[in-house]
Amino acid sequence: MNLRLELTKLLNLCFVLSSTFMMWKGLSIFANSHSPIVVVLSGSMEPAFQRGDILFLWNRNVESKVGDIVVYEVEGKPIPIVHRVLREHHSEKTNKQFLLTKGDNNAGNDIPLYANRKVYLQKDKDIVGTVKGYFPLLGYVTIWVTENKYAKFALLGFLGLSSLLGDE
Amino acid sequence: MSKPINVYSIPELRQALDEALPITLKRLNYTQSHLFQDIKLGLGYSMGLIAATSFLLDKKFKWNQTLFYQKLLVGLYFILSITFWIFNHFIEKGLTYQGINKKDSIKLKIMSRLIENNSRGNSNNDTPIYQIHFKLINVNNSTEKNNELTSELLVTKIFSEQGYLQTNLFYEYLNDQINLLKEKKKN
Amino acid sequence: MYSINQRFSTVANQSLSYGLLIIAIIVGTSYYQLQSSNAFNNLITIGNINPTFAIRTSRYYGSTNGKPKENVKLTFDLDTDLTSLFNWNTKQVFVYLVAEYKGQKHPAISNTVTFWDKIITTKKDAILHLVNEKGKYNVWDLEDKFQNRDLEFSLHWNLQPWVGPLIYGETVGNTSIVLTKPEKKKKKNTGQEESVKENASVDE
Repeated sequence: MNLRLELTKLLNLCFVLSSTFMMWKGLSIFANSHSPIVVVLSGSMEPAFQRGDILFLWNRNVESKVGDIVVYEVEGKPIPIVHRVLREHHSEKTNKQFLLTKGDNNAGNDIPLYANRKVYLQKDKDIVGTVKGYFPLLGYVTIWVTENKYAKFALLGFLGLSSLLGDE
Repeated sequence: MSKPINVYSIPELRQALDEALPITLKRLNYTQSHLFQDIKLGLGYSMGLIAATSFLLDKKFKWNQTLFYQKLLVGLYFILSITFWIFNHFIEKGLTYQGINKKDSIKLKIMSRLIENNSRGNSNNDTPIYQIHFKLINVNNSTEKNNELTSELLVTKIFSEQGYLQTNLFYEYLNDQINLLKEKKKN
Repeated sequence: MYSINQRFSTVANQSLSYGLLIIAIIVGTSYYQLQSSNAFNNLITIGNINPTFAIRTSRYYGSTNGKPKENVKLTFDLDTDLTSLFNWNTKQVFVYLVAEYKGQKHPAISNTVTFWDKIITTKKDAILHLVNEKGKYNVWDLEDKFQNRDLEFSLHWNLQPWVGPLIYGETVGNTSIVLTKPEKKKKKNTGQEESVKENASVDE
């Protein structure tokens, strides 16, 4: 067999996989968030967000504003939470900001959800990103693999794949 | 070529013909130069390697721990992608074959493309054309002119109905075209 | 294989680019509609703000380690018309009444808190005429006490679209008041007031 020919064929597959992944990484770095695109899994923000909706995040802002919808992670819990900022307290000197969040569809605030008996979130430590864009329902495509950690960029992979094969 | 192909698929036809070029030209005493292919493979697989490294870092560590390295890797990947693209479009420019005939001191470069022959109103309306652009370069005197030739080959002439490539016909065709070009050069 | 793959990618590519075009049109026209209907400059009047204070020791009311925390709740009047926010790409409008104030012990700390909010999903609910409306939240500060702060109230909104970017805006017409106990004095009898005063002195 012609080794070069086989390697060239394999290279195409390699390109599809690597460019998809690197596009995701590039987007992550651009948005400064390890998950710049997330799929909504719970109904706590209904009717704004339903299960399966796709959210686009941005995390280059230093401070959050009240009313922003943020995604935050809680220590020891695998699934990040999408809720709205109810209060913010920040110091102009230290650049530190404390946030209190609440789901629009929940009766009370998020204090029971926070780790280590904290009563506030910290912007720089806990926030994954602020929701900037919204696309409904398409996330259901990935929900069936959502338990898989890398399902988040399955959608992006699909986009990358189609664009790559597009010019053939 | 032992495998039959689907003659109605343009990409399959093109691929079969492009792959048959080096094999046939070998019988005409041309040795293929793999330089461009190797550069592309090298670039391509180093990009793959970068992506794999990034993937592993992502899997093993947390986001903040490896952010600097990830930035580096993404930057490198981006640069290599651009290099690859520039190489493809400005240096290789659709070159399908590059080889040398040591006996005659002739370098041969071939660009090829497959044209879906719908736009020209001739009788072979649905037959695709394999367009081959030959360029002969005398190794000892590279400035000479009249060394290029574009020829068009109806694919029905060299593929059987079952989809087999008639290698001997292809061989004869290429031989004829190269001789024609050599004649042209002399005049 | 190859041709199926190719056909699939062509279809996928085309639907993607048409999809993006449609989204761009929806987002563009709805944003233009917001601008032209002057949705970013809706007028508002807020008034009759009456606070009630309470001392809490639960973690869910902001207390840490059982230290007493002063919570404040409001009643208020509010008038505004937000119907201009409803166009064909509006899924819901989230309105929220916030107050901004500075820290008392640490003036470098800026705070913004929500006293009341509401989800509006239809245009006919977008005219707000609230009288003596109760605030939704018990609000506390980083500091233990909330009294005598200069609060600037404003009504903000967040437009949640069917597709596209989230849009934020503010209404015109802010109100500033100082949260003090005298407001309370009118309602309560003197005995209670004294006990509240005692509480306050304990906090200090």
